Amino acid sequence: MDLELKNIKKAYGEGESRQEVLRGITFELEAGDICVLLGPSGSGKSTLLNIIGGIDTADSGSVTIGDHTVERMTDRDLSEYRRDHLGFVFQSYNLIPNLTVRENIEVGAYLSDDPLPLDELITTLGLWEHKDKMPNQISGGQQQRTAIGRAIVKNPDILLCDEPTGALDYSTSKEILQLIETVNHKYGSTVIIVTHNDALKQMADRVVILKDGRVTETYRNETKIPAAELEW
Amino acid sequence: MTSKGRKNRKPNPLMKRIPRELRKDLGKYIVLFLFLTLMIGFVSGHMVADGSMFKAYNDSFSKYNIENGHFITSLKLTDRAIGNIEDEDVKLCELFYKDKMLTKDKTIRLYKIREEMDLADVMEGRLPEKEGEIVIDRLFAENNEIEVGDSMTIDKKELKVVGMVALSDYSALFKNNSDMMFDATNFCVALVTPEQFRDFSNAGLKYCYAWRNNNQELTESEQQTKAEDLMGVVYENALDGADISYGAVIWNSLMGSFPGADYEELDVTSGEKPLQDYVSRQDNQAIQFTGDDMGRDKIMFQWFLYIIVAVLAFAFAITTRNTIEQEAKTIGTLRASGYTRKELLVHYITLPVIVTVAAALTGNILGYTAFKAPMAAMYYHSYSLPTYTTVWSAEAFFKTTVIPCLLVIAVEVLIVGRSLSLSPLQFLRRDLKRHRQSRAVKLPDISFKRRFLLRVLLQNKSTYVLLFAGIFFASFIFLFGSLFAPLLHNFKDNVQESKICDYQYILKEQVETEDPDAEKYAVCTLKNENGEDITVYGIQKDSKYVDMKNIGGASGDGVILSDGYLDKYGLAEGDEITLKEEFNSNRYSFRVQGEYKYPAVLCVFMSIDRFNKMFDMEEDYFSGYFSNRELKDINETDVATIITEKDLTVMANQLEDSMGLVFYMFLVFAVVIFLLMIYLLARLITERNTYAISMLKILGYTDREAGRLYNSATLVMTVISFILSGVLGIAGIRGIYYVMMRAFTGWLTFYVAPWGVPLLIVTGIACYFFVSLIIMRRIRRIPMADALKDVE
Repeated sequence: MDLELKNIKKAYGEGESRQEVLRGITFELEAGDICVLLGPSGSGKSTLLNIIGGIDTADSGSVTIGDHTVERMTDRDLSEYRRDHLGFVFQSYNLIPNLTVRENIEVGAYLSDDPLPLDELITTLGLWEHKDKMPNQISGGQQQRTAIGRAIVKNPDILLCDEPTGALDYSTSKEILQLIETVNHKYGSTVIIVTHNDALKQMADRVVILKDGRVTETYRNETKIPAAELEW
Repeated sequence: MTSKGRKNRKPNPLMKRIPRELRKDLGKYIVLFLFLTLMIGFVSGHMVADGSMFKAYNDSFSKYNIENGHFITSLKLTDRAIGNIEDEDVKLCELFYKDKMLTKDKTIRLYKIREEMDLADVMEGRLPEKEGEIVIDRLFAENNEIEVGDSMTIDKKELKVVGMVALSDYSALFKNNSDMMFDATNFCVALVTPEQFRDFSNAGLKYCYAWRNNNQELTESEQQTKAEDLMGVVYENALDGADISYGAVIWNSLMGSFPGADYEELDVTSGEKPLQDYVSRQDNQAIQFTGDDMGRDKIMFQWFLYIIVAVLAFAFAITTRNTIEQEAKTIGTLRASGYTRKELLVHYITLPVIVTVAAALTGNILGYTAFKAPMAAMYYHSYSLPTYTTVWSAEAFFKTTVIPCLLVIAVEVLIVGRSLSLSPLQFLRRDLKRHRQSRAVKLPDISFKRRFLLRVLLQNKSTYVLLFAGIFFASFIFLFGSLFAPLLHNFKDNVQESKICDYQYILKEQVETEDPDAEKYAVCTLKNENGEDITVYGIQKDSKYVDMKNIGGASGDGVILSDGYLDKYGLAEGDEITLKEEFNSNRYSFRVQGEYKYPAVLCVFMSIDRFNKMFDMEEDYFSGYFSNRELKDINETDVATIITEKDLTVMANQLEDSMGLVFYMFLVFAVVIFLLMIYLLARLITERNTYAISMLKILGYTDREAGRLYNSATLVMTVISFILSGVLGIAGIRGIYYVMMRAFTGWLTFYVAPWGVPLLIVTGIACYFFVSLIIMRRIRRIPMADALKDVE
């Protein structure tokens, strides 16, 4: 499912405290791409991700995903849209504390009429041995794997990842990035990763660099480096 | 917008949390479940007992051929008179009785075994079969610890009690229909064989006739109209065959409810009173009071339940809201992933609703089994009701199951739904304030601990509002429970202090006494605008019993009112009151000129000269004596009644007797609600601040210090809530009391014991300290690691 952003603008506050976060973002993304949205803190990348995900609204501009124009959707349509097409992964894992790993993933599966086979996915995520554990019984990396599992089990068209490795150490971060890569390859989901880690741009098909709410650079990688080989 | 379609109706995996949430907070949910179950069981039991009892009461009218009314004639009716009366499409039945003194205070009313009308329900033993046997009212027997097989001495005759009965024409044991309150301890009805009845002296004999309409399909108002029409016929025939005539109208008006105005149209020519009493079923307190009281109880219990369920529903909702706050980021993620508000709402309200439904069902089962009997016993302890059979009540089920569940769902949907209405992004950012506060509330430059306390108060504003609401409601119950007994005691003390005299004689005939202590007075009964009986006294000038210095003479419209009258109807000096005769249009207007301390009776005082002039009586007319001694030289047959202190306090005594246990139950119930509300909300505040408490511990605060920082805010709010509840509660109870008491005949002066509010506050604080022990245990268990983890 292709993604097209046209002149997205967003500001917070009013009067003197008004702050323009996005100042006209335009770019396109092809279905199945891995896109890395790169930029320093405050550059507007998370806001942009939220607008794409329909959990925040742009002041102007349009977001088109396949046939859907996000800004024209009602609240109810947006819920349906997110339910049917999007998966979210955040820096904090936001798992349900009194559900097991498997049950947390089932929470995602419930949203789809045709979820991915659960056991196969849990194996792919490397969580088979931990599937019956509670979140507080597994490591941060395993919790993030569970969160990814919950997001992709419904086989979303687009997987939106906001700083997915922000709270993880180097080796765990690489494991998570490899997993995202695997998901992209295996299930064909378009993946958008928001990060301030410059090294991640090498694993992307499309790189969009933001600064002060503007796209300063965007390009397609001719050759990608697998996540396992990334260094930072 | 196209969708992938939603055929999927798998069970929501979030529901797997429910049993785990239940396990996690098992203690809390058990307490709530038990409380709701007991409450619903209690009310359900009451409604079932009330409904079953009410049916038995209503059915008794046809089952036991209960009269449509009765009258008492001075002479036995002739056959011709009976025939004339029965021509009015009624059936008459002799219900002659003899009032005998059991002891100085206790009266027993003896009837022959009834065979046609007002039949007895034999609840224990059997009816008398021979002389020397008697059956008595079950409630009187219970109150006086008399059992089947015991003996009673009446008029020096020893009778064996062979049974206990309920007479539906005496379901409330009113000796006279004009009495303020029934007296099931000092007044009894009994049945003996006709031979035994004849064997008793005729002192106290009353020619009482009950009638029953041949057409039992008449509506209440048609029955009343028929009773009014019948009265004229009865009156015309009451003296049939006798050379006697019309007499003291005023006395008659005191004795019952029949119209003085119609007398003038009747052709009665000499000095005997034709009728001594005439009471339709609708006007008969002994029959109607029970049914009316049952209806009142039912409404009270019902609202009692709803208010408690509403308070608990709010407690549930606030607890759920706290969970939502804690799980905000997860909720944000789920909402971002496509979970709808409705799905999350259903998830979060499921457990409270399950607990409520389970409690409602269990409560109803208990209501029909364990609680029904004690509730029925409560009625049996107050009224002389016939045997009942349990009746399934769809209404009780609806009111104690469906409505509480709907109430909980409504409150949950309202509060939890509102909490969940925030956007996914707000949840993800933990930005849960609906109205963003631009900056923190600036606090005065006070010590750190005080500022901390204020911050906790500000953080938990809504929780403390709920705490106040719960405490306020429970305080209401507590105050009702704790203040009623002293109110009754105070009333009795006041009656003792303010009684006019020890013996207030009301005479049938104007007989003279030689006793110098006796003082003549005149009295009659009129109705006020609310239809309540008001006693009008005509008092001698320079009376030694009633201080009438400021009442003036026979002229002018000023009168003195008893303080009970003024208090009940909110009257003040200068106000005008209008009284009327019951069955005609004669009205009398008076101006309130002063107050006389006489709380027991609603009455008006004027000079006897003015009284006699106003009511067209002879100048020397009087209708009774005030005396501090028993008047030995007056014949018993000339005395209608003697009012003593016991008669003035009968209402208070009866209320004390029948409601005493209920008031203790109120106290226990209120304390349980105090404990529950304080526990739930203190725990909620602790849960909300688990992270902060954990962090305080890391910084070096001891468990006690960390606990105090949070608990002291709850203590402050608890104390404030109890003080406010005490003050507002008293004002509220006073308002309710005045409205409630207007529905009753008579008056009990409102009184708040000086220790009422302090007792409430001390009890409340004791409850707080008990709860704080449990909360401190929880605080001790919060691990320091909580502050170092970010696990949701």
